[in-house]
This record gives sequence, structure tokens and C-alpha cells, in this order.
Amino acid sequence: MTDQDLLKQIKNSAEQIDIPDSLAPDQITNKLQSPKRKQKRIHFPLKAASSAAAVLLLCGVLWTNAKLTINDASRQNTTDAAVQMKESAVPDSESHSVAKTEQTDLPKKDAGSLYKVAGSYEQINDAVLSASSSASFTDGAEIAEAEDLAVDVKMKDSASARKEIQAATGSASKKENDFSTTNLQTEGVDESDIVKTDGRYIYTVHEQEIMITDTAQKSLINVASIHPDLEAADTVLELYVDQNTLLILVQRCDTSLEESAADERYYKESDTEDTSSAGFIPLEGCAKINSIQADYSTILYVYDITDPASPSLKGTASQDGIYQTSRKIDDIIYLFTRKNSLTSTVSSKDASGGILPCVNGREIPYDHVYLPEEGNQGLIVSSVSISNPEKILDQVMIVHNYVEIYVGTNSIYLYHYEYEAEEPVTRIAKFCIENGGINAVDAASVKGEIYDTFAIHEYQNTLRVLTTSYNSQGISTNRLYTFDENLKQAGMLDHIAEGEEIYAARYLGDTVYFITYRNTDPLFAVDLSDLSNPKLLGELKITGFSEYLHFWEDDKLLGIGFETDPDTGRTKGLKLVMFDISDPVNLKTIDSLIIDNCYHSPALYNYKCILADSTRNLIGFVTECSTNDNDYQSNYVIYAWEDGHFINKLTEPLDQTIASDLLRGLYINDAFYIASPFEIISYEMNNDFLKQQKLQLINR
Amino acid sequence: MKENLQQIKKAKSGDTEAFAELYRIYYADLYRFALYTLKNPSDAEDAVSETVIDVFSSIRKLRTEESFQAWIFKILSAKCKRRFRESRHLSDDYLLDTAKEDKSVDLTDNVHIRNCFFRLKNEERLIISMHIFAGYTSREIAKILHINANTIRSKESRALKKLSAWLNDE
Repeated sequence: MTDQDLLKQIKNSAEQIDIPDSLAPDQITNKLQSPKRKQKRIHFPLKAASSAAAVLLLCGVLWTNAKLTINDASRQNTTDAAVQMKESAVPDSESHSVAKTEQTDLPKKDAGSLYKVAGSYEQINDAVLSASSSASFTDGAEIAEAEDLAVDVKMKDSASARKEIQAATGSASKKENDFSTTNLQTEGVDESDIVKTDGRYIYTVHEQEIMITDTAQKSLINVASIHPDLEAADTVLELYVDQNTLLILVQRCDTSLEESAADERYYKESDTEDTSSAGFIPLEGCAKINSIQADYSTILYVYDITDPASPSLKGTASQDGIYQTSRKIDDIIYLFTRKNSLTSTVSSKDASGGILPCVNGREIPYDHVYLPEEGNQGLIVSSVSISNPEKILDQVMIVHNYVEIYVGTNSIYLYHYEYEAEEPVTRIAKFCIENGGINAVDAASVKGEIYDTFAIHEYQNTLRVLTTSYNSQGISTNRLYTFDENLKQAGMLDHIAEGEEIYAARYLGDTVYFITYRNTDPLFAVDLSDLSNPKLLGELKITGFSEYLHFWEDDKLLGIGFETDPDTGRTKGLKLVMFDISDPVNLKTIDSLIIDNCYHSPALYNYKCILADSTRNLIGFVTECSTNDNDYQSNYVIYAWEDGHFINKLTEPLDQTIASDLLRGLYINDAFYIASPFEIISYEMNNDFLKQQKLQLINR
Repeated sequence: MKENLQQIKKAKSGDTEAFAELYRIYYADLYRFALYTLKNPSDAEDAVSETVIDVFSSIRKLRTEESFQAWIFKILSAKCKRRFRESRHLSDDYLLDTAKEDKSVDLTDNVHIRNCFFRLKNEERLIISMHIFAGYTSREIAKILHINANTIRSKESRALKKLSAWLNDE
């Protein structure tokens, strides 16, 4: 079969996919014309596509109906039993809505005018239902003027700045062993990953199991694998390792048939979690069956790994929704899940309760729900202590249309973009997190969009944000905003690098370094020590651009990106660059290296794929390169910084069947490992990275 | 199916009907593009609806020499790329699991192709989606993704080789 035929086949395979109703052109027109208008529930139109194939499919549905019902019933029973057990085991959770004594249960405050705490279940009901008709088409929210410019000038805290340097350069050695940790967005805020090490064992995740590999013996030994008690459709996502505790994040997916009430003449509104969009078309005669419903929930399993060869389950926590992200600050986990289309849940029940998503099997209380002006998706955030996962410390649900999440040491920031004005606007809400308690502080708006994950940063409870925006003439501009601890705007710097975009940013104490790009790659340094008056310190123009920045030793900054032709903008290859930032006013390039014929790396978009550690002098990541025969090859490469130059230490050709963003480089003492869910390869660092062993974890 | 310059002009001046007509031409392919790139119906739906909002609110910026099709898919591609950065979690088996039991030959073929396609890497799916659903040439894809056009071609051809091996495998 030729490539052309295959492409055609792929295209044809998509033809039968049903387009969700919410995307239909008439829906779109309605929404564009009258954004606020309430609509009746939408009749699911019988598509002309109720063809033979669809009929066959439907019969398949009917045929499995009986089977699924039985499964459902039995599952229901087991869940009930489990809940009961939990209740008797934790007596005080029963009276949970009355006897709140925790500091984490202080009344919730509004997040400015952006999200307001719900006053009742009815209010949530109304808000969510009205949002469903106007969907995400908002009109006319204005940027709040920065009224309160009173500033708290922060003293430069050199100790904590130094701590950040250490963190950013990746040293970590609590135990006697010297080993690497996951490359994080923010120091002190741990993130889960698919590969972790505790200095002796390497933990990897594959589909439904966790493999534990001992590195302390002569050769790598797979000492244990954990199979959490999972259903067929569950997937282990990522894990955390904290001394004697292993935390596993699991995505559960329960599918069930949804039946409509007898008098329900309308089909359900298109639900984004509804697998019916994948081709199940209800027919008139079978109106009782609405759809196949997929219910996602996210479960945290906590294992004691004091003896990693025999891990024991300590407890679990769960919440409704699709896993978004999580963070661990000291021994508290913050879990973020998204419940799509709350509308269907809400509208199917009465308004007296029982309508909201659950955390640990219990409905989120209405006064922990934040309502926006519009929105019908729920971001559920809960906090648990890893020493007692069954007990939820705090929980909130923020109703929204779409938000991005940034977590600093003291706060959670949720932000999204609105496009109604001349320029896009980013709206930010701040929630403080203290010992597990989650409560809103305020909301703010800035012009432009946040283009890089690292462009938003919290330092000493104050926020700094770099944005890029295009005006109506299509000209871009960049701005830097600073906010005090109450999220009141403190200062602003604008007209930065007009005509360019922000590609990468990194904050170090009171200074921010960032890269903008059009045809060349200026590096900027801005002093933020006076929040009300950010000052541009220096600027350096070189060719190409960096997508990722990492502090190196005390006075250098590593960039990973591309070299480009300054005249044509054409990409020439992957590039490493080392900047001298010892004098931010006088930024310099020390050296750069172009990796020939390599045009891509997962390091450019997933910082967890990068190992950059100045204490051990290691820069490791995957490159994808063209070969002579017009094929391509991915390699794991390691560079060291020696005498002012990048020196290649290792170029390991990789198994092409492993997706390159699943590979992690790590070290324990003098051994280096390239680990993925499928295999671990070990090297002797002191012996020119001599390959020692390749341990197959999964038979493929 | 051809774009109408008149309609684009109207849409640029804020005419929602004209905008909806333009959208009608592409919405099915937009959704297919997003679904095949992101693998997950809810992510795909979100990406498309975000794209439509963006496009409608910024259609004034559309330069006359640029085609509406190229532009709307460019925005969608960016949305998909952004989602790759955010999560690679919702990857496998989210789609059509239930349909596997169905015995309709034609349909299971399609499901099989789709499931194999979903085993490709993010970037490979994005490149192929850009090719078949958005109709971009390798040169155009190269420009949008900042990758050399030859590399795009070799990546696509490599992905198709893998795919065809998987298809014959099972």
C-alpha cells in the first residue's frame, strides 16, 4: 500500500465520527448572535447518517445493554460497601458538614469578581444551566484599572535566592546518595512523573503497573511490581516518591449506559464526556437509551515503601473528573481534576443536593463552589496529607469554561484568556494554600497572553507575569506585570520587544530573564526588586531562539532551542547556548553549539524531559535527527560544560518504538540511567559513560 | 465548498451569519483534526470551540492574502500543541473501546485504523492531521511547526511505515 493510499484510509476512517452537537454551525451562530440568551434544551437531530452502519452499532449497544446493567449493579454494591467501610473506619467524617474544626474549613472568600462563592445549590444549578446555553462566548468584561498601586517593597532575600539557584540547577541530596530529581517548574513544589528515583530504587509506570528496580546491586534487578486493584479501563498516570512513601495517580473510567426518563422526549445535550459522539446514534424506537456514558475519576494510591521489595497500601483518596495535574508541597498533595459539562449532572437531578461532583465519595459542599460569570466545567481541587490520605483537608470546585493552572509555593493561580477586547486579556485568580487549606485571595486582569509555562512566577508570595499580545494591526508587543501578595497590581513594564513574542522565561530571585523571538533571539534581564518599578537591565541579541532556560551555577543561564538563519528565519538545527549573567546589565554569550541535522526535542515542550544539573555537570535530553537515508533517528544526548564549551559525552541511539517524551535521564551517585516505562539502560559516568546493562521492564 | 471572498469580508466586518457559513465548511474537519491529534473527544471538542472563539474574535486580523482555511487550522494546530504541553495523560483507549465488540466489518476496520493511528507519537499525529484534514503542504507544516520541510516529509513517511506495520500485524 502506498503512503497516499494509507493517508486516504486514515482520512476515511474519520468520516463516520459524529461531530459533537455543541460544535454544529447553527449552535455556533446562535451563540455568536446572542451570547446571553437562554436556550431550550436542544433536540438531538436525527442525522442523515443513520445509515446501516449506525443501525448495526445501535444493535451492538442493545446487545451489551443487559450485560452492562448487571455489571453496574454489582459495581454499585461494591462501591456502597467500600463507602460504608470507610465511614466506620473514620467516624468523624460522618458529621463532616457540621463539625468542621479544621483551619482548612474557614468560610471561602470570593476571588474578586471573577469567581464568587455559591450561596446555595439552587444558585449553582441556575448558573451552570444558564452557562450551558451561552457556552464560552462571553461579552464585554473589562480590564480592571490598576487602582491600588501601593507597594510593599520587598527586601532582596539573598538566602532564598541562593536556595532557588540550587534548586534550579538541580542538586538534591538529602540522603547519603547523590541523585537527580524531576525537573520542576517551581522549587519546593514537587511534580509527579512517569519515572522517579529515591537514590537507590528506580520507579517506573506502565499502563496498570509500577515497576521497582534496585540499582544497588551489581546489575539492575526488578525487585517488585505494584498492581493496584484496578478496573480494565484504568490507567496509572504518574507517581511521586517521598522517602518511604510512594504515591500513584490513577485515571479511572467507568462506562455505563444512561437511560432517559420515560417522559424525556429530548436527547441529552452533547456531553463532552459522552462517548456517544464516537458514533452511537440513538434511534427513535430506542429512545430510552440515551448514550454510553463514561465517568472519569482520579484516584491517589498511597503505598508504604519502607521495604520497596514489598510495598503495602496505606490508603487511597479519590475525586471525580479527569486528571489535570497535581503538586506536592511538603507532605500535602493538591489534586486537580476537571469535570466536563456539569450541565448534565446538574439538570438530571433536583436542586436540593446530590448534584455536585464528589471528593472521596462525598459531594462537594455548595459553599466550596466558586461560580464564574459563565462556565459549565468544574475544576475540582482537593488537598490531602500523604500520612492520612482518607481524610480530605480541603476541597473546592471552580466552575469555568477553561483555565490554566500554575502552582507556586504559597498559592494556586488559575488563568484564562478572553478575546473580546482590542487585545487579548488574561484573567488571573489567586487562591492561597496553607497547610492544605484552599481559599481565594482576589482576581486581576492583564493585557496579552502567557506564552511560556515559565512566564508566570510567584516569589515571596508576589506574582510576576510576562505576556505577549497582538494588536488589531497584527503587531505584537510584550509586557511584564508585578502584583503584591493581595494580587493588586504593583507595577508594569510595557513596549518590550515590539514585533516579537516571548519564547522562554525564567525568574531568579528578583530578576527575570526572558527570550523573545522574531528573527533573532534577544535575551532580556529585568530587575524586579522594586515591584512598582521593574527596570530593564540588559539586552543581548544573538541568532536563533531558546525554548527553555535553566540557571547554571551562580552566574550562567543555559538555553535550549533552535538556531535559525536571521535573514530567512529558517531553522538550522537544535542549539545549546550558555549566557553569562554575572552582570545583568552586560549580558554575554559564552558559547553555543548547534546539533547538526537535529530538528526536534521533547525538551522544547516538556521540561520534565530535561536533566540539567550543574553540580554534576550534566545536560541530558532526547534529540530527533535526520539521517543520511532520509529517515530519522532519536538519540539521548549528554553534554557537559567544560572550559567554556559544550562537550558531548554521550549520544545513545534509542529504540524508535518508544515515544521520545517517555525517556528520562537520571543519575544515582556515579551511575547514569536512561529510563522509560519499558526499559532502563545504565552507564558508568566515570568511565566515559560506558554502557553497563539494559534491563527490559516490559515485554513488547 | 470554496471560500467566498465576499463572505470573508462580511465575516471580518462582524457578520455572524457569514462567519457561520465559513465555519460550516470546515467544522467537521476541524473536529476530526482535533480528535485525531488529541485522541480524546472532550479535548477535541474543547480545542475546536476555543479555536472558534479565537477566530471569531480576531477575524479582523486575517490578512486578505491568507486563506481562511489555512488560518483557522493554524490556530487549531496551536491549540493542539498547547494541549500536548499540558498533558500527555489522556492518551490511549479513550475512544471507541465499546465499538470494538461490534461486528460490522467496515466499521471495525476504521476503528482498527484509528486505534493504530493513536499509537503514533503526538507530533506524528499532528503532522498527519495537518496534512490530511487541514490540507497543508509539507512546506506549510514546516513553517508552522518550525521544522525543516524535509524533516516533515521523513517524519510522515516514517510514521506511515510504522502504521502500516501495525495494521498488517494484527
